[in-house]
Amino acid sequence: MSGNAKGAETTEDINKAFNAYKRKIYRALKDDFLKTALERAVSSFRKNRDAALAAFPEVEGKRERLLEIKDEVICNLADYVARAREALERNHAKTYYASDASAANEILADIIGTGKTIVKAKSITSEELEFNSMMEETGNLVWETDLGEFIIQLLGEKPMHILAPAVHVPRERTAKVFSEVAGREMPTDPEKLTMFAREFLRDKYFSADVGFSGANFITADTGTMFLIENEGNIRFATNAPEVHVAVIGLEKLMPSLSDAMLGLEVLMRYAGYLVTSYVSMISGPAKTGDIEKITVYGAHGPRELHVIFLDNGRLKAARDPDYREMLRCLRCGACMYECAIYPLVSGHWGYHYMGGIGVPWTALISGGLTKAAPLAYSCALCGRCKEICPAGIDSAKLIERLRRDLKREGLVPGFIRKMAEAVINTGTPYPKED
Amino acid sequence: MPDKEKLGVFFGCTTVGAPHLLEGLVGFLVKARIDYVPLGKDLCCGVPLLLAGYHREAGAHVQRVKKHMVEAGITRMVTSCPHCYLMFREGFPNDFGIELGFETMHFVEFAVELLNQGKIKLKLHKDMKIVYHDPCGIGRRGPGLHQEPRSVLASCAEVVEAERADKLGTCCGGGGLLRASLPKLAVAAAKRKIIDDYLNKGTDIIVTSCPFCTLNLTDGAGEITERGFNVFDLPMFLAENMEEE
Repeated sequence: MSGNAKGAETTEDINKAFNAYKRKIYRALKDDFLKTALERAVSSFRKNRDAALAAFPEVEGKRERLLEIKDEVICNLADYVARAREALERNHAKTYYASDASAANEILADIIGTGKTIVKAKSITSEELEFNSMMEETGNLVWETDLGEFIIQLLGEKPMHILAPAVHVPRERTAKVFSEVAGREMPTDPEKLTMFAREFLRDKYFSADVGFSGANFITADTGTMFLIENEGNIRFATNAPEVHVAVIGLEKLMPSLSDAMLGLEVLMRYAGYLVTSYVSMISGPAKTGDIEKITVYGAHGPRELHVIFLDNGRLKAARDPDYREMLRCLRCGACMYECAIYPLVSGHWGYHYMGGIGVPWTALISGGLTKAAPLAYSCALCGRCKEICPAGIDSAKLIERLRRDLKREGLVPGFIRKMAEAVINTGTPYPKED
Repeated sequence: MPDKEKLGVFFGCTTVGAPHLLEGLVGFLVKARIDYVPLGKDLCCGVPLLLAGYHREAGAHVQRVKKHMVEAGITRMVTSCPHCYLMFREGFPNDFGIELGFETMHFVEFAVELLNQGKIKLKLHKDMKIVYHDPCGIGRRGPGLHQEPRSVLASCAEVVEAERADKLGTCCGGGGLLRASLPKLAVAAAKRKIIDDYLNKGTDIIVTSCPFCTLNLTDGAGEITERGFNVFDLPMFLAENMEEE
């Protein structure tokens, strides 16, 4: 029967994929650079977060309120998208709805065209579109402006943490790659390295044609996107060029400005900040009416604002009573720092999304079941991330659910299948060999 | 209420598969003079099937397990495995609609009961320090048995605490089939946990109440060169430290 043959192929594929993944994970375990960088990152994250939560103990109550809001939005996503689009159009922005990554890329190709220079703010959502390589393929030049992303771009690697993309890169490696770009020896001093990036990127903002960003929240009542940052690069990237293009995942929707303020506070504190240096709120293109009250667009900021709402599996996830929980994620990154597994291997445990929460995100949003299958067996299911998560997401429960879906699709790695078959046939996973 | 209790002890495949764990549990039961019916020596509770995503097959398997127990005619059951424990307490009724008709206790609860009733007594070690590792299955994923095991150990020695313990205790890395899928990753997690949390606690004794945690922490400790650690599952530890009449 052809069904069986296909099943066998799938099983072989999944075993191959799992073995390749295992080799990658075991290589990462031996990487001393990675170990040093992650240890530094985890310990400073713990200190910062403890301080932020101690200074603002009321954030706990705000977190609970935020959850109620988010759950209501998740249940009515389509309605909130429509309202946010209406508000943005009213504000003279152009809006688009992309059902998947390729639809988003078509829209981007239409807006951006070719031969352009793009300054880009950090956006994990853009990884779903493989934005940088898509833009380069269509003859454009992309500059990552977030320091971590800039380092990753120069190294030709992928982000290894949702908040701190270069979390796995110790200063010594950054100095090495900056030295190559600068054509002179760079010291390992973080301040000097940061100053180099500042100087290097400064004029890029003003010569770029397009500024690209995601958003942390977007409100349905006013169409206002919130962009939270410390570096100041997002302000430049979304303000200096003539055109600002934003790609925003549907889970970022919030009902109102005050709800987004609540989200902002919760996200900052749980991400380990007392307050961030900047929060940009952008609701439309720049405009002025200072000359005879005649509205002119593109005063000092961008003349055009394009906002693409990205579904890419989110509506489907929102309809599932188990999986919808994953859309609560605020991307604070706490679960990853506090995980027993993630700091050992960083984003090697992941595809575009990483760590435990990254497993269902890979399966349903960016990657698919086959990519998610090996990742689903890297979690010890200890449930500690649920205790850490401001949104109370039970990633272990989501991963258990995913393993059921993987089984149904015939995507169980061989050794797991063998163990399960031993239980079914002999009653125990460790049958006596005699 | 039945006149006479008939206690079942569900061993669980991880304990059965590791000779020192099995010896520890049996040793305890003998020393404490517990009259029991041995269960689950050749029959898994079904958790591995659930963790592998084999929900439908687990449904058939648990019927076998139920039959095995009903035939034993027990009135109460103890298991030292948190995962078996959760399976009987929550998985059976919630996922499969099976009411076993008797109470399932974790070994920690059983030990507390025996101590309170004066049925066992621990040797007092004045200079001994112990650190307790919280297994997720009877901790944050289960009934929150954090103080109970510590109180048992405190009747024997000083219990020192890691910075992150109880509900927020870090994972040993040994659960979720990780020891089967990526054993080196599982052991690396245990090694990191011991170094981060236990290395500077002035003790080399780690006690836990889960066969998976015990095995994985033992393997993790084996990779640490700075100091040697002795890792015990609670039944093993009590068997070694009980007053004999």
